[in-house]
Amino acid sequence: MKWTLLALVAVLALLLSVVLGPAAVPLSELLRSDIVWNLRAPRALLAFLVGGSLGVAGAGLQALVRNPLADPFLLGLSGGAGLGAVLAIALHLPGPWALPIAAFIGALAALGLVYRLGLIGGASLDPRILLLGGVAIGAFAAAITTAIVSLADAAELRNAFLWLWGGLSGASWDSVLIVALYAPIPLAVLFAASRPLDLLALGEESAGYLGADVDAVKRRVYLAASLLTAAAVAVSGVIGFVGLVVPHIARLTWGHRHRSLLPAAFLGGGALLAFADTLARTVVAPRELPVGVVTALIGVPVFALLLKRWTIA
Amino acid sequence: MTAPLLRLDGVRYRYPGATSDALQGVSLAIAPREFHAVLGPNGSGKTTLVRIALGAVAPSQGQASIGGRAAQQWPRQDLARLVGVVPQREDNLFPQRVRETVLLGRYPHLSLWGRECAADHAAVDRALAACDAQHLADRWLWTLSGGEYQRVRVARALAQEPKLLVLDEPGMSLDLKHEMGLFELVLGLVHTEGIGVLMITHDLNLAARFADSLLLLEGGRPVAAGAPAQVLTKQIVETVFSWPVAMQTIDGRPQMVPLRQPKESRA
Amino acid sequence: MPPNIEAVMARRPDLVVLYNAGPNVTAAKQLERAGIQTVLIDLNRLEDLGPAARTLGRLTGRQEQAESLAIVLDSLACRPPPPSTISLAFIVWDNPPIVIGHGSYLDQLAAQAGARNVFGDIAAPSAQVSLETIVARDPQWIAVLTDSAAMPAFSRRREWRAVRAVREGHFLLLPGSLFGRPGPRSGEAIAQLRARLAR
Repeated sequence: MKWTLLALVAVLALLLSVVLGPAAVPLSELLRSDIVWNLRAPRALLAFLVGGSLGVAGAGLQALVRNPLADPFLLGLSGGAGLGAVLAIALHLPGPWALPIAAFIGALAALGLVYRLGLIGGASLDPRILLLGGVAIGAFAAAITTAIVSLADAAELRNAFLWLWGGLSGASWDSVLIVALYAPIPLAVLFAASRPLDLLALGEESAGYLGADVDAVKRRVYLAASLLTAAAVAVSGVIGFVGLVVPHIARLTWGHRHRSLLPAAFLGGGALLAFADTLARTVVAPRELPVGVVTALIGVPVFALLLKRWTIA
Repeated sequence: MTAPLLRLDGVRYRYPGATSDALQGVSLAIAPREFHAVLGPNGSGKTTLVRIALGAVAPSQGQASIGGRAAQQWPRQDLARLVGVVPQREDNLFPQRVRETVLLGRYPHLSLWGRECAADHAAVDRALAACDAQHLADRWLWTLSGGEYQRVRVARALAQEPKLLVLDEPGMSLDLKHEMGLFELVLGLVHTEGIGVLMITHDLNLAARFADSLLLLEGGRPVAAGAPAQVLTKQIVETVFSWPVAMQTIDGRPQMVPLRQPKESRA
Repeated sequence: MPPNIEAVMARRPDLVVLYNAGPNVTAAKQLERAGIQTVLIDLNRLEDLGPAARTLGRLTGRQEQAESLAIVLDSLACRPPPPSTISLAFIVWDNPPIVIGHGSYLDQLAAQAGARNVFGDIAAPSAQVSLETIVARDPQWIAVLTDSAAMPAFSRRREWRAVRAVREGHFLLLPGSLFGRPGPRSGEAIAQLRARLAR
């Protein structure tokens, strides 16, 4: 029953994304409209894929670092991506894909650094080190980025910050295809880790005694969640709160069994981002809000409500 | 003759960077239907023993084997079908109901994508019944008392349908009633389910009352091993624990009573 | 970015002219305190050109030349714009799409050159819009501020090809030195823009 409802919500969010928009497309012309087929449809699908990926990555990460307040962007990836993007612009790298590729590489570099930090002294990905390292590397990258922006040609680079705030403007069938080919692999890795993630909630020692290969699981989950997040940032900038809030909302109905939580987080995250993007495109038309702003505006009150419920429990 | 469930042969271990051994010359063999307790003052190497016995670390010398196979070579999931462990601490992050948390004990038996089936739920029910916790099945974990929560953890280990149960200081922070209840429970399981038990405990008296065999460690070395009456003698206890005691016998088992020692008359 | 006060002072200038915005305001105060003559000039729209010329003329003692220049520049601002025959949009950034709206210098230039800014209904000087809005408003020309002669990178992106002007390659590449900011060559900028649109 609840799955049917969730599927309906997802379909509704996609439909709204296609039907609504700042350019008035009458319903009768919907199927023939260039705008709908070339802009709205791929954008809706991309929003769904990115939102879903962030939801699953967030759920996996929260289980991994054993902290319900973890968000995929705590890993320092957004700082790395921002630095990559700014370098691409400052160095005038050619090609229409220069910015996303540079952002992706930047995110991977940050991932590598934090991972390396997590392994120091045989710590084998201690969650606290991952979180602290992520914040530190992210701040470091942000500082370098700001330095570059202030030293180089200001105007262009300031606009790079707008990109970083998150937006699905770059959506096209090309980007949908790339994400649709890329995301299933890390998603599958995370889904396959459902049981070990359940066990990890008991603590690493107990999880090991219940049959989980804890070190291997932590590595896989960390890398898969990070790779999903890196792709999301490269394609759509930093969209916060989806990865943080969606797993919690999903847990309210589906509980903590990751076998059902992860798919629910995917559908829920996808629906949320598609819906947020529709809002971003329509509430201040003809202008557009950065979608990261919309998810924060929705996410913060929801988060406050969840916190309240959490402390009562 | 079948291999013992768990076996340690002359095990020696030193933590990296330590100046002395954490364990030295420890041997132990546990067969089905045997209740073994490992005792000793703090820092005597009890938890290290468990880690080595379960293959979490490799001994510097000697062998640790489970079911006839080297402990370190057991794949984690296979080992979890054989050995159920109740570690000292558990840090359960997310709220759960009792039935859900005991169900986690079935995970070692599930394949990667397989679902739990009726047999798994039956095993959960059996485990809850054996631990006298069926009435708790739908309760949230945070509403349980310390003793009830401990029983639930034992039930989870039992749901693994292990041949060997390992408990690390299970009675810590339990009140008298619940601690007694726990030991009775474990002894009962030995008799009805035929499992072997390895329990780390600091409670000498309860260990002596319930266990078949004791191993007393001091500074990583085995001081005495065997039946409770052999191990818990006035001489041995006073030497190891550096405190005068008087010995009594209850139910045919030795019980020690610590004596008072006012400051002036310290020998 | 704020100017380096020490470096400026080391050159012992007679007069420091600053664009009136942000960190420059504080810098101006610091320079004044150090005894250097400083002036902040507003230079955002065509109307600011005349007063700027007069101010500079007064401070440099060249009032006559300044006045004659100012009269020309004032006329640029006061001239009623010709009827617009062509539509365009200024794209400042592609991801997310940032366009120039009403009330900005470029918007004024376009009007004076006989072009209609399809985003002239947006009050702000610049704003983020959805790509589909650009497609729906269908400008005949896309104007981009760039010193390069090559088509902007985003023209090759698939989603931008939904815009007719991008598909047809109707780009106006405007060099920053002439079109970036109001200045004495604004008249030249308007003339050039008009000529290119006529082609």
